[in-house]
Amino acid sequence: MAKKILIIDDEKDMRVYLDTFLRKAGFETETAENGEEGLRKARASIPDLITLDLLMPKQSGVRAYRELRSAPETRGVPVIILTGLLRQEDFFKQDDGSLTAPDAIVEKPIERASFLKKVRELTGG
Amino acid sequence: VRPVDRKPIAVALAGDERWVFVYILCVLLISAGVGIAVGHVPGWMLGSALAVTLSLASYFMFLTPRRRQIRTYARWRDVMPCYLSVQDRDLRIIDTNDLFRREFGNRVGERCFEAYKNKDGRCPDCPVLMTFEDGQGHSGEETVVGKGGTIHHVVVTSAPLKDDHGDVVAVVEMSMDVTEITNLRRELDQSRRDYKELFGSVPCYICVLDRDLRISEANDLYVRGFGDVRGSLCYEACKGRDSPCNDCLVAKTFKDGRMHTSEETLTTRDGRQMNLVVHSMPVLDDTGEVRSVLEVFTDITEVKNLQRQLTLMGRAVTGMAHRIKNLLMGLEGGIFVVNTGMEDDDKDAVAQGWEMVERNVNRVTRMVKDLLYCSKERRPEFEEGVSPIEIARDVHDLYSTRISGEGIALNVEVEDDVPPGFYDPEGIHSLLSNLVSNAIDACRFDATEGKESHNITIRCLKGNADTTVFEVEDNGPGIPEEDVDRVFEDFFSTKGTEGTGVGLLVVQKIAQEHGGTVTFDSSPGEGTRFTVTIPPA
Repeated sequence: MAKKILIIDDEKDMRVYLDTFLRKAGFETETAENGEEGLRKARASIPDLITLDLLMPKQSGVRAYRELRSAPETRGVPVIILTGLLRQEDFFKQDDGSLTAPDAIVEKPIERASFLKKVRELTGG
Repeated sequence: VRPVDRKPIAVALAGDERWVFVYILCVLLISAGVGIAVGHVPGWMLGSALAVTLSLASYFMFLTPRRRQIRTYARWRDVMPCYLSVQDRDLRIIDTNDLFRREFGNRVGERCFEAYKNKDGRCPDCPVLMTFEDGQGHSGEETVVGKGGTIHHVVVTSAPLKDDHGDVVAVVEMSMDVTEITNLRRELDQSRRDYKELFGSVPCYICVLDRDLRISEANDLYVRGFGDVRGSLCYEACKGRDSPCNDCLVAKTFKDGRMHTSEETLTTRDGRQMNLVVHSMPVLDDTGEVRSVLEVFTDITEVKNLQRQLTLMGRAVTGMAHRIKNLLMGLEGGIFVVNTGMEDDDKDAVAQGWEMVERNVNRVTRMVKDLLYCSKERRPEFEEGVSPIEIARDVHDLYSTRISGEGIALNVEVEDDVPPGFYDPEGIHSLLSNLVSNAIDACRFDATEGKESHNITIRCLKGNADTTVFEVEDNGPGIPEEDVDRVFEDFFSTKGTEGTGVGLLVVQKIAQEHGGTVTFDSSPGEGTRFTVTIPPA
C-alpha cells in the first residue's frame, strides 16, 4: 500500500508542485493550506510523513509543529520542514528552544532527487 | 646733574698722576731751594730725603687704589665673556675690550649708537644714560650690528665708574651676546604658534583635561561643537552628567599613562548626534608623570551611516535571495507540473502548471520593476490630466480579484473633487500597489488573537493647500514598536508573497519624485495607515 504524505503549505504553487511530484513518485498525498487544517487532517488520518512549511501566515507553521510534536497520536510521524530561510537556526529562534528538532530540514527551492531520497528514507518506502 | 665730564678715565687718571708728580716735584724743589738757601748740605740732603719720603707716601696714598682699580679693570676687561665698552656722558666710547674690538672694530671716540647700533640717535631707555643719572646699574635688551653686518641680540648691563667724589665719570656697558638664546626662543615661539595652529585646525575635536576632568584647553572645532567649555568639567559640559562616566578613558590614562580608545555618541550644542572614536593620550611632565590628558574625538558619523547602509544592503541582498528562491521554486514547480501533465496527457495539470509559471513570471517582473525603481534606471514619465482617483480604483480592482476568498476585504474611498493633474501614472500605480501588497501581506501574517476578518482601505482625498492625499490603511498586526524607526531603512521584508520586498523604498522614491512625502501611523495589534501627500504640480 502506498505511503501517505500530508503536505502543509500556505502557498498554492508549493502545494500543487509537491502534490504532483510526490504522487508521481508513487505516494498518496493530502494537502492542507494552513496549520489548523493540517493538524485536523493529521489527526484524522495519521500520515506516514508530513512536509511542513514553517513560515506561514499567523505563525500557524510553528504552532502546528509544536502540536504535532506534543500530541501522542502524531508524535511519531516524521516531519520534513520546508524552509526558505537561509539559516536553520532561525527556525529554532522563533521558539523558546523546547522544540525537538525535525526529522529533516529541506531548503527551498528543493532539490528533487535528494528530497525524494529523504522522503523514502523517512517513510521506509 | 654735574656738567658733562668729557675727560676719559685714563686721562683723568693721568691728570691726577700729573698733579701728584707736580706736587712731588714742588716738594723736591722747595726742599732743594731751602737747602741751597741755607747753604747747608746736610739740611739740603735731609730736605730731599723728606721730600722723597713724602712723595712716595703721597704716591701710595693717592695713586695706588686708583691704579689698582684701573689695573683690575684692565685685567678683567679682556677676559670678560661679553662686549665691553666704557662710555662718557656723551655716549662716546672711551675704551673697549678685545672681544668688542674683534666684533665691532676699534670704535674709541665714536658714539655708542653710531658705532655699533647703526642708529642716528640714542636708544630709548639707554641704560648707560640711566646709570649716569642715578649711579645705579641698569640693564636692557638691544640689537647691535657687527663688522660684517651680523646682527647680535645682546643683554646690556651698565655699571658706574666713580671718581673720588663719588661722581659718575664714566659708565661700563657690558653686552652679553644672547643671539643663540634669542634664536632658540624665537624657534620655540614659532613652534608654539605652529602647535597652536595645528591644535586649532585639525579636523578632530581635541581637549586637554586635568586630573579633576576639568577641560583646560580645547581646539576651535571643539569650541564650535560644544561651546567654550574651558574650565568646566568634561562630563558636565559635553555629556550632561553630574558624575564622571563609568568607563572614563581619561581616568584610565591618568592611572596607567597609556593611550585608550573607545566609541562614544555625543550631542553637539546644536543638537546634532555624532558618533565619535575617542583616543585619550597622556601628556607627560619632565619627570615622566602624567601631567594632563589629551582627548581626541574623531567624527565617524558618516562612516557609521555607511556601515549601517552596508548592513542594510547586506540584509536586502539576503532578503532578495530568499525571494528569488521562492520565485524559482514556483517556476520549477510550474514546469514540473506542466511536464508531468504532458507526460500523463493530463490537460488540467498542464493548465495548472502553466498558471503557476505565469504567476511566478509576473512576480519576477514586478520585483525587477521595483528594483529598477529603486535604482536610478527609471525616469518618471509625467503626464498632464492624470486622474489619481482612477489609479486608486484600478489598484483596488486589481487586488480585489487577487485576494478574493482570503477573508480580507479591500475597499476604496475617493473624494470625487480630487482633480486630475500632472502625475507619473505608472509611478502612482506602483506606489499604491506596493502599499496595498504590503497591507495584504501584513493581514495574511496577522496572528493577533480574536481578529476574525481584515480590512484594507485605499483612499484618494483632497488635502490641505490643494495637496492630493493617498492613504492605505489596514487593520493588520501593526508595526512593532522596536521596528518603527527602521520602517524606511530596513526596507527589505522577507515575509509575504504579495510585496516585492523593496516596496517602501519604491513608495518613497515615487513620492519624492512628485515632491511629496510618506508618513505612517501604526498601533501594534490594531493596524497601520500609510499616508502619501503630494503637492500640486
